[in-house]
Amino acid sequence: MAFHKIIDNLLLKYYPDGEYKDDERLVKFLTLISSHYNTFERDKKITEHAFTISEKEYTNVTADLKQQNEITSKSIEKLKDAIIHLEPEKANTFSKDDDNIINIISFLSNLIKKSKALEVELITAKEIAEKAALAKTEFLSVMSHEIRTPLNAIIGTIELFKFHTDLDDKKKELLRVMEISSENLLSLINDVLDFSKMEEGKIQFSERDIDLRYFLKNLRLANRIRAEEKGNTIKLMMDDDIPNFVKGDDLRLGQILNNLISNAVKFTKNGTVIIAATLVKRAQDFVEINFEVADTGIGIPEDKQKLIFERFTQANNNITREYGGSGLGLTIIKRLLLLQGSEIKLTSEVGKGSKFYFNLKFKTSSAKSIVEAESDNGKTDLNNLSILLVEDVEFNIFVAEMMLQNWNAKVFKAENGLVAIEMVQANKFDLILMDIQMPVMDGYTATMEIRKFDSSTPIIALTASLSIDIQEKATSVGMNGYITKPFNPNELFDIIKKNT
Amino acid sequence: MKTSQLHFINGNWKSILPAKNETLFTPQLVLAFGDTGLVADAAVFNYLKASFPSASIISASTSGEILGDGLFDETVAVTAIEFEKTPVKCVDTNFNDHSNSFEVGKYLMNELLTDDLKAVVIISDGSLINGSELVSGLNDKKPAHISVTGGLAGDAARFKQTVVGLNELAIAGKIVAIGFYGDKIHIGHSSFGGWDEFGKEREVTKSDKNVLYELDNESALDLYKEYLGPYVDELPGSALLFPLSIRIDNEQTNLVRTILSIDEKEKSMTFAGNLPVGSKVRLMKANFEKLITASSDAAKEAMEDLVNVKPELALLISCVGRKLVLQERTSEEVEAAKEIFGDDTTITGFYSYGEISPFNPNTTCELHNQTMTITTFTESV
Repeated sequence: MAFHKIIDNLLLKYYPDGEYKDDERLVKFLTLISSHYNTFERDKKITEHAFTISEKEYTNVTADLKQQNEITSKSIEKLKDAIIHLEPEKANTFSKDDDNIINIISFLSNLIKKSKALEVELITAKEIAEKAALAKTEFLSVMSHEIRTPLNAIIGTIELFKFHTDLDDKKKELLRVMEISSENLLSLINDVLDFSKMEEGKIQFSERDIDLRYFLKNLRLANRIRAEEKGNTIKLMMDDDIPNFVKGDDLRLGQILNNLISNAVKFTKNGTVIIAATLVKRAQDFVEINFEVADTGIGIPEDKQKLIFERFTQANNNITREYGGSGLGLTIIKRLLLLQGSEIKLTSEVGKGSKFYFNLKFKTSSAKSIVEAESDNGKTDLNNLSILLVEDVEFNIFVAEMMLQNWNAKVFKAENGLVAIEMVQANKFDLILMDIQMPVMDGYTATMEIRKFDSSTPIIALTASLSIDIQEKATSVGMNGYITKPFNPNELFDIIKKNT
Repeated sequence: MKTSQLHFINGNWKSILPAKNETLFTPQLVLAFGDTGLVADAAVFNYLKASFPSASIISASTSGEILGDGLFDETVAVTAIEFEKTPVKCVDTNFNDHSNSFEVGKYLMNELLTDDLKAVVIISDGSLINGSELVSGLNDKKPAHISVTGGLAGDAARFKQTVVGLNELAIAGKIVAIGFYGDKIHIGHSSFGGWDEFGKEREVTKSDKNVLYELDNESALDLYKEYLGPYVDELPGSALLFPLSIRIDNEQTNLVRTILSIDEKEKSMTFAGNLPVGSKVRLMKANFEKLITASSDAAKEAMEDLVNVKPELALLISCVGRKLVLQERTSEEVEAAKEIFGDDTTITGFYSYGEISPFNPNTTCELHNQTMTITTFTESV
């Protein structure tokens, strides 16, 4: 029987002849010792192996930690570098060499606090600015509105004076000055209203059939007198390929071109103003047309060519004194075209003239002709039509009544909507002119009431506002059309003619 | 209290410790711890039944029997106890009669619980039952002052089938609870391991009750294999060399969990107690001297409250894992306990698959592994 190696070695040394084998108790004792040795050895082997594995694990853990530490150190270093780079004066608030990030954290949290406070300030400032902008727009809108009412009376009075045939040339000249000045004032107010509407994003474009040839001819006619006054000739050149009818917003197109033409006339003396329209493209459902207004006037220096499209800016301050104008016109044109996906362009040379041009797309129209009310000069006869004028402002009543009577109409008056309803119930009128804002009962309500028993009598709204909403609302309550105050006598005549 | 001890060894019954006045000896309780085959042997059981006709006979299979200062295998160690002033009640139930191990624990406590219940000793099946859940069930409605101690039956180092019986042949899946009543009985208990933790702390990342799959997202079985190195072929027995120390829910005290079986296909390890996901574990390693010292420490603490008297009976329940580590030195831990108690204390017990004992008096009991758990009984105080 073999004992543990250590015991065997000892036995060999002390019992070389193996005589211990005779002692049974000794053998039993040695067997037990040997077994203990083996157990110890087995345990030692397991322990050593386990500790080796554990050591290996710890080595890995340590390596991981070391790597993480390095990454952390590098990150902190980069963070510090970034902060020092951004705010060099903060460099001394923390040490660049250690991994201590407590100072950095407080630095960053201060930074965050600051930017939070700044954010709050900015929001407040923005709100104040927005309120201010809103207040400005509202102010412009209200003021323009308020100015239009007396202006209505002035223009109306001028129109009435024009019926007097016994005026001498001197008086006619004075009247002419008054007329032009008041028209300038009206167009200025309209510009301001347009501008504030654009600021509020309230501009909408309508779609109507336009007879472009007729439209451009009228445009030329309307500006001819003023052009001739300055010794200018206006020429209209129109491409034969342009279709007779297109669909678009004739009012806005007129506004744009009128503005350009009146500018051209204003800045040209004894020269030529050319209005040109050429076809750019004709497709299945749209046509693209290039409009051009060129003059041989004073021209615009190159360094001012961009500036003139900024609001309230003209080429130089002297121009304001010499030629007048608000400087809003071109800004409005630029924005109106932008809203329609187009852009106004300009070429100009000082002393030789300017050319403004732009392309505009129109939907194709299937119209064959457009019935226009006859507005030929002289044929201003309403043939004894009975017209109910519903209006509360006395001066407006006076102006409108004078005009209508001059055109041989029979005028009946109602001072508010309620009176109007009673009158319509009692009498038959050929047409009703209905103010919108009135005491007791407004024009919309009165129209709705009238439409309950009378669906045929034409009702035309008289409004001081240029808003698109008015147009929609007027139609929805059963009105047949609307006209904005102060009204041009021709427009008033046309709309009455069209609806009777 | 009167006790007597018998030993069935090599096919013969031997009287080890005869009762002092044998003719007047009427034990209420007989504890028979033995080899799985022997405690399920009708002849052995019938002998005990004939010898102690009026006693409740509780038998359980073991991984080694403790009798006096001796440690035995493939024997039956019998201790008969007559309580002079203490009523005793035994109940049993089958694991299969309940939906889970928790319910088993609840049922047993409910059967024994009265106002004067003082202590409970559990002798449970060790292979079908989930020890952690059984203990939770026992604790569920238990008033704090009642101590619960005991252990799970063993099956040598085979980990196959354990058997337990009450007044009948021991069978698998049986759980027996003994209730001790009244003020005359004094119970002491303690539980010591003596293992050293080593290596890094790991987290249980995948487990199902007492089946462990992954530690730190890596296979727990592979980890064990790496650690066992040259002893990998001796799995699962060799895994007992490295029990797990487990801390659940960041509690202060750690429990020890030992391996019952492994599943190569599932790469899983079944432990003698639950290992909830998120628990922190460390490997443990035996140190011979500390294991043996733990045994005498347990003995000291189990009789701490006794002044000038020795306990009359000491029930030693030690873990099979300790035996596999200590090998032929196992008897030293029994001797160490015996040395503390002296000759006046009757000593019995067994090597088990799990020990039950509170960490501290008046607290809930816990399932332990790899400990020496001692319960002392004294009526003469």
